[in-house]
Amino acid sequence: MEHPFLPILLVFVMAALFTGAFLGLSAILGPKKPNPSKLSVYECGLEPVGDARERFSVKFFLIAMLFILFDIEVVFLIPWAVTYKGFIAEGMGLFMLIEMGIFMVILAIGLLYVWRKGALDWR
Amino acid sequence: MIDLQYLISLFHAGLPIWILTGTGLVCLLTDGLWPKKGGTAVFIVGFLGMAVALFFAFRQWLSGETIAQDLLVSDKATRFFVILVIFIGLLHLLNSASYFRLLGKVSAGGSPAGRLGPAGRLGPAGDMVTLTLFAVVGMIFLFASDHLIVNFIGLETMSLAVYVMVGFNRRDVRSGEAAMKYYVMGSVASALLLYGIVLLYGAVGEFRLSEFHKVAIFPDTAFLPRIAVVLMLGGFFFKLALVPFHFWVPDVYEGAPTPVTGFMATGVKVAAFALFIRVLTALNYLPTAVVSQVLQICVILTLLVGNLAAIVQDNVKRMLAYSSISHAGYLLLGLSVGYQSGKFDPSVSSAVLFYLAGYSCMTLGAFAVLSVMVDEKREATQFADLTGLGYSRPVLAAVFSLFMISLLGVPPTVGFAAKYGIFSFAVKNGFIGLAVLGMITTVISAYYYLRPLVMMYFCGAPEKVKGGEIPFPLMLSLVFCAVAVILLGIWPLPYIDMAQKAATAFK
Repeated sequence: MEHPFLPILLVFVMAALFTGAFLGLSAILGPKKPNPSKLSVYECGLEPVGDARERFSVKFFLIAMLFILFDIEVVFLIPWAVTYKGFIAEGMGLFMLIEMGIFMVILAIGLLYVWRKGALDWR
Repeated sequence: MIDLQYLISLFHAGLPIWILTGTGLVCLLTDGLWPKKGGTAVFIVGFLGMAVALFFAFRQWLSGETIAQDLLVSDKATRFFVILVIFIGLLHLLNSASYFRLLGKVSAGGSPAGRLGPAGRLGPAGDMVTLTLFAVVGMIFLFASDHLIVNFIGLETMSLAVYVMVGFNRRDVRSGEAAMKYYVMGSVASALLLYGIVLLYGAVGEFRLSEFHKVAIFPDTAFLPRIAVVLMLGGFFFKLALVPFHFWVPDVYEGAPTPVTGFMATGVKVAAFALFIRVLTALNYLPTAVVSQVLQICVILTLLVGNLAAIVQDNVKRMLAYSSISHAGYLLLGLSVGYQSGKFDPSVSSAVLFYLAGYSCMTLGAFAVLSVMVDEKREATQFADLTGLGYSRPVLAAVFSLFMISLLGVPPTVGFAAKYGIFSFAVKNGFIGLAVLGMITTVISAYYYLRPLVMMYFCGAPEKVKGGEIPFPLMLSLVFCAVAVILLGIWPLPYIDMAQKAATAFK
């Protein structure tokens, strides 16, 4: 009996074969004539300055983490907004509004907290 | 249409949780609005909130009837654990409040995040209160549901809060190291547990533990639940600090601020054991014959390694870390004797519940004493630091001796009553070998539990008299723990009765 996931395995095998074959062939057969502008990071555009793997300030991480927090809030808000009409039709509109309100208030308290603690000051 | 009755019962089922969450948010708000001097206010708000939650948890315990509403379960067992973890949270608040005052002359507000002075400062004292509240909420969610995903979310809520608390001592590099180690190891353990939960869902198509008795496992897929159970056991053993998964414990327990170590050794363990008993009970309905053997091997290893490694430590916190490992071993012994012909009988867990309560009292007490042992902005928790404490601070030395004797398990204390309960179940169920091993390792443990007493009373007077008052909050928690240790030791019947009532809820 054929396993239901067999086609998916086949897709993986085909993908590996094709990519491997094309990359391998172009590596073996392709002509190699390097010059400085070909080897630069951007062939046209800015000259790269220094290594990309530098240490940089922890403030960036803090801002990034706060961004993710409120990004996730939007991620939850959009599906809620999409399905909201359905809830109104079922008579649960007010309930869902309050539920979302509680969620937003909790996040707003968090924002207030980080703001007052000075996490948003760029010093 | 939303049902008002439904909302009300949901509200009643989780009343302590809602109070604790609300208090946590109020604390966050207070700390945010008055960052300069909010520390004391936050402490008062947090403490009162927890006390109110404790009151309602007691009322729920007395009222009796089980509420199972959607994802929340509020039965006798849950309420027993809710009361226990709120007590632990309250004592932790008392311990940590004075610890930070002693250690750092820390300003109540602390330094703003993102602007760390060159010397580094302690974390803001108000945040410790908020984190404690959220950790306790996580602990309650960890066992107040029979839905594995909600349990997992509770576990993560608790763990995230505790990771931060471990790294709270920003002046001390060991604290940061401990936080990093705990975070990395804890993430792996959470991943193991989650993978196990997911595979279990794949095998039985059910997240709810209370529905497991309805599912049917087809013989040709029986290997899947087995893998799932092994992965879940790995995750649990990490959180419970049992031996193959214990390597992080000494470092983390030593590096964390002393009150936080006490909180981890009690609160986290209590919550994880609560869920563990629930899961073991539900696993009866799956073909998972290996579990009882795995538990027994783990008990033997934990008792031997925990007790033998504690002997060679020269830091009291590290010694107590190994002691907490071996106590987890005794607790697991109490669970593993519940297996008769491959099925777990949850009625034996009454001894474990009583042991957890007693263990929490004595361990929190011991760490409360160590929280006072602070000397010129550093923790003085080497064995040598205890020299002559019996003469310079007689009260402190006396209560510390009491907790050590109780951890060892000497009769007038709760340690004896708890160990007696576990071993008598073991003998009754025919696990003589395990009971004998437990008694032998208890005798071994006398060496390292009595060593602090020798240091305090028989090693001469201290070079410099350290004296000093015990701060009031710490005094409160010390008195509470000491009274509890003696009371539960000489008159344990009402509490064993409570534990038995709670244990009947596991089924």
